[in-house]
Amino acid sequence: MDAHANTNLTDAKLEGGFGKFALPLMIAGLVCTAAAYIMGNGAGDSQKQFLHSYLTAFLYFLAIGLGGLFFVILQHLVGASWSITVRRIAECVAVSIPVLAVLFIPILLAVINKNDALYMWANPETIAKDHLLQHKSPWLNPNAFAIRAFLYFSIWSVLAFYFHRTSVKQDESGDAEITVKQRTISAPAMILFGFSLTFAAFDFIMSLTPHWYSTIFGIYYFASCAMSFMATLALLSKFVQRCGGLKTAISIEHYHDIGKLLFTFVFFWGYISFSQFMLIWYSNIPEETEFFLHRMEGGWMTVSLVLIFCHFLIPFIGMLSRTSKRSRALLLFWSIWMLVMHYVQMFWLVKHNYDSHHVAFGLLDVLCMLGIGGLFIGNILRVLGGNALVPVKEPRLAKSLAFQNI
Amino acid sequence: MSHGHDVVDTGPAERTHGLLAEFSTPDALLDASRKCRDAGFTKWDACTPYPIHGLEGAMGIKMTRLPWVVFFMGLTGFTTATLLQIGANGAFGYAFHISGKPLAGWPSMGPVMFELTVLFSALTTLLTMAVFNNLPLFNHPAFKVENFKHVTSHSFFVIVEARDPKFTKAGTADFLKSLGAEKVTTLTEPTKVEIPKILKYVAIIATCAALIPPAIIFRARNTHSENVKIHLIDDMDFQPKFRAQQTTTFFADKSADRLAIPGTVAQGELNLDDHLLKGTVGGKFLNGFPAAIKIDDEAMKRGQKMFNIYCTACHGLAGNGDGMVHQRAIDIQESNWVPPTNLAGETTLKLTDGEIFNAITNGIRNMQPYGGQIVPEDRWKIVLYLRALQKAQPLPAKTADQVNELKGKKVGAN
Repeated sequence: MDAHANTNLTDAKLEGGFGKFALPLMIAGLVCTAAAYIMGNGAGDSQKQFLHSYLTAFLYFLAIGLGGLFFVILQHLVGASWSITVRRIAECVAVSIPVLAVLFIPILLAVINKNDALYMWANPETIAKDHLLQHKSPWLNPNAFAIRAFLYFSIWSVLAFYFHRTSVKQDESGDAEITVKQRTISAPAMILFGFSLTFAAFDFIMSLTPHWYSTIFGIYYFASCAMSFMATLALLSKFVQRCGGLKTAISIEHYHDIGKLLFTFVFFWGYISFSQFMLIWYSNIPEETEFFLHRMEGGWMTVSLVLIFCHFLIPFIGMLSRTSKRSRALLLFWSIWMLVMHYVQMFWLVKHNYDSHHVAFGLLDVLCMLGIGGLFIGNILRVLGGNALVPVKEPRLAKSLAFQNI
Repeated sequence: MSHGHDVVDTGPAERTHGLLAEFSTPDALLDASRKCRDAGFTKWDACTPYPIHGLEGAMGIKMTRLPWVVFFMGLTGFTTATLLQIGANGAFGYAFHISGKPLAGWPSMGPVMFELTVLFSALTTLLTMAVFNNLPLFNHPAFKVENFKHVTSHSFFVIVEARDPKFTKAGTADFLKSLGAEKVTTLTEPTKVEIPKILKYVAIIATCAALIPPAIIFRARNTHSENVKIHLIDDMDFQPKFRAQQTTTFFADKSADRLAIPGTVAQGELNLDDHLLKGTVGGKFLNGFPAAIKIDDEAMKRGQKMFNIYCTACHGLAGNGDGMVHQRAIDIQESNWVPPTNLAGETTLKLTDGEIFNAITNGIRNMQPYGGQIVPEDRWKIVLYLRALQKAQPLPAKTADQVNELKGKKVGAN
């Protein structure tokens, strides 16, 4: 209740970490990824199918990782104290981005080999025949793409490592200077994060339809990042507590705040998606409308409607009340709901490029999700189990433990 | 924390409002609040310079009903925006079609729906919160206590009101002191001050006077007047010009409209070349182009450009009558749709150049006239390009078979 609450957490570190989950998850992930990769080198358009399924799953987990990085930087930037008990979890999510950097190699290889199964602009013959793509080729060419991808992952990894390492270091020294330094770094870090995420969204997703462009696209993907991470954070917090850690440290007050942010970004996603749609709908210019027009036909129209209702309107109403955020069961329900919808959103963005007439969901999609997800989540648990579950000597930890919503 | 202060009375003869207890730390206030709550007081309040986390729980305050009010006002805002826009676009009366958008196109209505929802919610939140909190509060007995001014900087107070059923002046004062209050002060109800009578009369007169202008306007709107309208800007109301169909005494026929003098020709409108302008030679539509049209590559390119701009929407790029408008009409199964003519078909092939020119100029069947949009030279170039299109059409299936058959025979002969 008061600012001098007891900070001697007895369950701030788990004996043996999450070893019994982390290792099996990572092995299963590796097996599934390998299986998907082998399936993807079969006959016909299996490679095209694999690359699209793989990119969908990749973007799904990249969003969660980037959301984690955003959350960590944001908490330092605004000097938030409520979130300290869940910040280490977020740091561990962010610091797993390098795993995704390695998992980006199959996509990068396809692009460098000028394989247009995924990105049509990767093929120089296509560009030679296409006047508009010739103009865009200084930006959209395999080498520039590879250099930029390297740059993005470097920025994200370095930032994630920095905030995780310094935080872990503080666990031992308890040096308050580290907190001050982190806050100083967080401002330029946020700027770097904003730009890198925006351009990554342009490169990884928007360039799937290289004739089409939407300047809001960066923040559109960011909305998914922040939303999916808040849902993940709620689930991970619950998972840690189920394993016997942070029983008292993460209280209903923290869940309430995570719920508020989840609700915020559900609405933010709706706001940004609508802004993008409305402007394109209103101006009604063929080169802009193609993106939506093709997603409003046949089975894809169903997916679009699912997004409007289940990714926005239903959870918006569902999470509006205070009760739904202060009930662990309801919050976990909506978190799982939103993570499912997050997949539908990535699927809608990427898989339409594979087959614009049919909505095809298959074994490859499942394998890619299990594969990348196993490796990514396994790594989060591995890192999480290696250190204390909260920054135990963070000067404001007591304040976070005693935190109450008004 | 000091104890043993006496209860300070500000005036024995006045009615007691309640007791004011001062605390120096937020923790002391939280603790005191919890104890007041547990002691069963109901008419009491805690005052702090800033929000204290957990205070509402310590005071035992129930969840506010404010969110429900805001929710329903938000819905009201949403509904207002929806009906306002549908109504303003004329869905209930005269329809305003704006840049071809549907009358109730929800994407364009979205921003206003959002804004009005937020506006209604935000204003409701502010105003309802004020009402629930008895704001604005211009005066309070605590204002008379000198120390109470520290409530905006560093002091914390509990006020227990006399109307609380558990309140007894001595007992409650002792209770508050037992909570660790630095100082307990009795608050007295302010003596009622009558409003001066003269102010009341001024208010009544001012209210009545304020009704006069609307009354005058109301009367003016509902009665007729013999007086001349007041013209504020005279030379705008009376301009030295004639409008169509006006009379004048200047001309013998008293009409302000004048006919052109017979035989007059406006500049550039001599229009003698019937072949160029109407497509006729001696009153008949014939094949062949007027002398003014130079048939060359440039003319063909110009014809192609004009054809692609004006004709392809319906007739299609190859002139087969399968343009985007036609495709769309088929897509939405438009029941009244008359398909555009296949310009490479029998009907058009049989037409003379002049007839095609005439069709473009004046329209034909349900095709609108383009004479007003395309200059005659360009219309002829379209005819030229159309003739080229007709020649470029693939052979009819039957003819192609015959050709292949002939080829086959040749191969067989060899």
